[in-house]
Amino acid sequence: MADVRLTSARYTYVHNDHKDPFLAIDTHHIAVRKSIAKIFLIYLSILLLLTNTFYVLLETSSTIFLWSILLGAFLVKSLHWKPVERDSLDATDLFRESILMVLSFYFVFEYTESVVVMPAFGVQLETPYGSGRIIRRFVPIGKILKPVLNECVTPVTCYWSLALIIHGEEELMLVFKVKFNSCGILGIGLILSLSVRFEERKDPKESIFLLAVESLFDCPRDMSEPGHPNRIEWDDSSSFRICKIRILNKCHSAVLLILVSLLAHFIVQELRPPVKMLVPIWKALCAATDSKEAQI
Amino acid sequence: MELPEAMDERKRHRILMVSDFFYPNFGGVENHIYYLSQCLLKLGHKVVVMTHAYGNRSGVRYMTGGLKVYYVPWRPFLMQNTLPTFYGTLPIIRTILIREKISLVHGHQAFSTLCHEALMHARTMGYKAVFTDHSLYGFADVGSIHMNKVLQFTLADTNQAICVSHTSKENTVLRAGLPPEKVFVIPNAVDTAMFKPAPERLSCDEIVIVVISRLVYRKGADLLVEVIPEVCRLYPNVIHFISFGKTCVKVRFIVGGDGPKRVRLEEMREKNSLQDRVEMLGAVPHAQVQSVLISGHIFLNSSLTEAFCIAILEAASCGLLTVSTRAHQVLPDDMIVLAEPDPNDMVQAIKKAIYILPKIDPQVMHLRMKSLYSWHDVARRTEVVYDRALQCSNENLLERLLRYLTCGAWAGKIFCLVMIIDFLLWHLLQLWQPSKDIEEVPEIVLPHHQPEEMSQNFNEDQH
Repeated sequence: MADVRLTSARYTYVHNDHKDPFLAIDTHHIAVRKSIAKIFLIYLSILLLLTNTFYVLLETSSTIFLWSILLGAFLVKSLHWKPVERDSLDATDLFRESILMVLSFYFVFEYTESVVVMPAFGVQLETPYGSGRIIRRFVPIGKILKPVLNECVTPVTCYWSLALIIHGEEELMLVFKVKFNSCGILGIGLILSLSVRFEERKDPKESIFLLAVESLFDCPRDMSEPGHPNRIEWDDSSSFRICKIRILNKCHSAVLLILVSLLAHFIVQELRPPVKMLVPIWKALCAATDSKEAQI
Repeated sequence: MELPEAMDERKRHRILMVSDFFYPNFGGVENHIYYLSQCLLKLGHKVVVMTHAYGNRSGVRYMTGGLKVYYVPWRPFLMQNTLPTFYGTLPIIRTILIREKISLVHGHQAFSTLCHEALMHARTMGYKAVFTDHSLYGFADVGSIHMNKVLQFTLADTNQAICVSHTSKENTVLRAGLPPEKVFVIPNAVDTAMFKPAPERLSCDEIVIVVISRLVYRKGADLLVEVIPEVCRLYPNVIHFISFGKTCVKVRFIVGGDGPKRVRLEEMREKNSLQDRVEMLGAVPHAQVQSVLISGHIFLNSSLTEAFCIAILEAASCGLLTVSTRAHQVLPDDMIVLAEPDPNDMVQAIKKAIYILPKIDPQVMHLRMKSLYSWHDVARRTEVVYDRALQCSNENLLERLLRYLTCGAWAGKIFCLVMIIDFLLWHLLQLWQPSKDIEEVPEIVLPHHQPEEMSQNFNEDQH
């Protein structure tokens, strides 16, 4: 059994090559270490986001204090919660599990994805998730046309990825998957942002601001048909009094959604090992695919 | 004594060409970048092109000769230009510069926002920058004033600049306030392998005058409206006595291209009943230009102003005698007849061209063009510019900011602020994503590339 190990800043590659004739499998592992600074920044930004949302929602300091105490208690309780695997979950359990998944993910600093190559049969891909579950996918060797090393370009970066061209499918199958672990936080953010409402404002400065927002959304003044999505009801007593403007709700919700999605982008765990770690796995997959073709 | 390989390694540049205009678009700038890149690859340099995504064409593509192209998925917003976000492209440009181990960034075309942003970020990160301007711009309208200010900002800190003609150099130096010694003139070239004359010489019984251009004001379409009926009136299928004897001279026009002035040409055709003597082809795809050119004897170009007219070179390469306005002096005197941008003068020039046409040999003209205008020559001259740029000293932020301050009372300060923010964002990005996390791309050597054979052919060309 030959072991090869390659290490970089965030990733470690381990190769177990079983030469036993009865156990002809080839296992490749990639271990990912997460940066503590990023985790701290993410927590801080989540806290800022929630504080801002509560302020907008409630606007009184005593209520903020109360809510922050409640949030703190909830977080502390979740940290000490032990993970339990259940087959059927009800609504409260589901919510608890999602929070738990998020939090336990951040307190697990290293996890490993594996590729097991069985030349005669196929390839097994193992992906662990934050709650401790491991998802295994098996791809029969007959379905794999070719493994490819893809150079991917996004608007902000470039990276290499290893993918399989599967017979009969249009899309490539990624060997190392992108993982989303922020479902709980996203859920909280969405619920809060959509529930933002504004009460009647009598402050002229605020009215001017609301007027500016109105002009930004190009909303004419006399949209008085009921059922119009941007309906504005005007108080005729003063030219600067505006009440119940739904546009501002949407504007603020849009800003919150943008903030949440940016946060989600940072929270998404993308596996981008360097190409020197992907090349041996790619070669092993090529060898398995070629031997399958030779047999045919 | 140094080994030749070591010397080559030292002189070998790794260039990033940046522009919003590249394949699959067709045009002067696109062709320039492509041909220049191919010739630089043959000289042994490494070239990578960066442009924006065209529809589904997004990601990394490899072209002939191993030319790597990054189609970055930023959507174009106006006339094929990427949305200018100032700092939005900093992460991707930094990633590409580090992973490809680039030594020099070469931007093309003043109208390209991606080019300006790339040059700005490259200078912030300490890379050397070269800029090539392909077009002439005005000074009077609001759009030109803003464009000139942006150009001034970019060129304030660029190491070297290249223009495609002396006229273009004057225009660029005035617009950007550059010292003229910083600007090189390297004219464009033509692909003589693609633009070959017809295998058999056309008979001179009927003279065919070809016009291929965009039918807009700037290209002199209004002049054509005056000139064509006058020439057709002068040569109404009448027998002319020329010194060699009696010859029947008929003149016909072929007009290719489209634009807002096409309507005027159609009206002229109807009014003078020239439907059988003036053929309108409409827009001609670039691949079919050669076949249109070889069906004619004379090429007529009436553009009022142009930085460099490649169309004239293409026509001369196909063996056509050119009649052109004085805006272009890119051909030797025996290959071109010049005229003022005035209808009468142009008609006289066409008469002279018809007179000297029997003395022109298309094959000889083509061979002369091959020696005069070659992309290999352009690449060699550009290499000299790169060497000069790389010899420039490295400057820190304060020294560079002093250059921006000279751009204007208010503009200078705004430019300084923009560069300071860019510098800070760059350092933030270095903390967020350190350079050691960005993996360098392994070299891919194409199996059919034979450097020994290439250098042998290159040496033969030189002798």
